[in-house]
Amino acid sequence: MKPVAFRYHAPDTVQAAVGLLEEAGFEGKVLAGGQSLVPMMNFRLARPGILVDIRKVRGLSGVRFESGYIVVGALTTHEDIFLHEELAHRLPVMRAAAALIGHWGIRVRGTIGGSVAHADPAAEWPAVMMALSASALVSGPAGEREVSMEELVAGPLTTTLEPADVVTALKIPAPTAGERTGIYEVARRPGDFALVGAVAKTKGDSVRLTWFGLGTVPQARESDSFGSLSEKAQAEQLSRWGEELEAESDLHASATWRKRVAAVVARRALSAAASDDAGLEAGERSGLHV
Amino acid sequence: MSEPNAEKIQITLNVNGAERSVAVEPRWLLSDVLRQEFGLTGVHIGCEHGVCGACTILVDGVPVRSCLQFAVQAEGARIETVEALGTPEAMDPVQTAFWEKHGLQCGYCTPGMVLTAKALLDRVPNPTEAEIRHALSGNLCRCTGYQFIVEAVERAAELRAEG
Ligand SMILES: Cc1cc2nc3c(=O)[nH]c(=O)nc-3n(C[C@H](O)[C@H](O)[C@H](O)COP(=O)(O)OP(=O)(O)OC[C@H]3O[C@@H](n4cnc5c(N)ncnc54)[C@H](O)[C@@H]3O)c2cc1C
Repeated sequence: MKPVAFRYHAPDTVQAAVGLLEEAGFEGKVLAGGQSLVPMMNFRLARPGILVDIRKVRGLSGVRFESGYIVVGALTTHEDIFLHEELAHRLPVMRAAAALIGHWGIRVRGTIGGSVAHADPAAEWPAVMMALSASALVSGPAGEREVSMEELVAGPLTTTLEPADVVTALKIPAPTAGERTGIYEVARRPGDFALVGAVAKTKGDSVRLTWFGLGTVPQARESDSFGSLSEKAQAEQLSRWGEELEAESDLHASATWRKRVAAVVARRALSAAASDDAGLEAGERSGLHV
Repeated sequence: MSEPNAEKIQITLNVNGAERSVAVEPRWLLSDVLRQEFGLTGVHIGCEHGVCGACTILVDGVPVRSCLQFAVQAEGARIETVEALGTPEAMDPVQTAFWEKHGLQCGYCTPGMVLTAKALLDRVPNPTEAEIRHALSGNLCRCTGYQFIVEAVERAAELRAEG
């Protein structure tokens, strides 16, 4: 229950971090909030020989509003995102999603960049970022590049990032007029990882749903005419999609249960998208945000 | 916990109001350093993967899991453990309230509960029951069923208001 020995670096620029990681090769690992990596190190499921702590790197934290984009720094914590008034105003699903993550003590350390790089199949941010068509800004030995979320997430706890790559930010297209996004999830206790969750994005009659917690990666389905369907036809469509999704069984729920609940969760995510707070109050929020 | 030839890094941090300096191996968890180097055994170690909240301390006034950060990362930080709160003769209002309301049985989760409650009351002096439950949701208690803990935090808010 204690990590193996490692060498520790805390560089203050991205370039220095990438350089150290390049030198370290497969021995190296980025340390951000530590809320996923340190538990794995404590259990010795992860045994990196060199840790590059990026918490001192300047400029990786905070939210910028650029023309057409919202850029969230990789080191921005779940709590920072929750508390960000302008972000909550422009993109309410960011606050609603942050409220579902872990507990107070986890949210104040854990980061959006870490969550995306960790790619837990039940995590909120990878699914929310996919739903919003966001991409990750990545710095590596060959310079900077932009990687779409679909390209980034390769499997459960697996990404296409190279060992010396550092995610510096998430770049989210600013919502266009009439576009709404909401989130809903079912968990055993507030703050636990979702058993099944969904992010709904709607515009007019078109709907795009992105589920998480069912399979090995977030899964999406879309329809241009969903809003024009009868209530019954909508319910049937959601059940069909639920049936189609790849789902895993584990200690907490069977694949069959997850597929059924996927339709219910999708319906509630759609209501969340229609509400002003993207599902914040309707959700099982896990913590106080003060 | 020392390795024979392990490289150590000197860190300086403020622990319960005093500047302290200590040489640590990078792999040492903050929870272990507080207990073993500084004797602060009020930092209770439970699950060591962030789930139970027993090792909660305040870093720069914010409750965090001390088992999920390395001591080297606490360079320059202001740390508060339950030992900073009160003495048996002069308890902190949060401690008095836990005592009055029987907000504990075995006591294992208590330091984490008390520190999280204090951090909550520092931000929201008069929290609702829902706010108390939200704030404490990351601290597990296997004895009380939480009811008395919630009442203790409500009582602590009263005691603090009375001054
Ligand atoms: C009790 C508990 C409950 C939790 N509940 C939830 C939950 O409900 N939902 C949820 O989504 N998460 C949950 N988490 C996880 C939490 O959100 C983590 O903060 C997050 O998954 C990882 O972020 P981090 O900054 O802590 O990353 P770290 O733990 O520091 O790193 C995680 C991984 O990402 C890599 N990495 C980190 N940052 C970068 C970067 N910028 N560039 C490249 N690689 C990087 C690291 O090398 C490592 O492999 C929970 C954690 C705990 C302990």
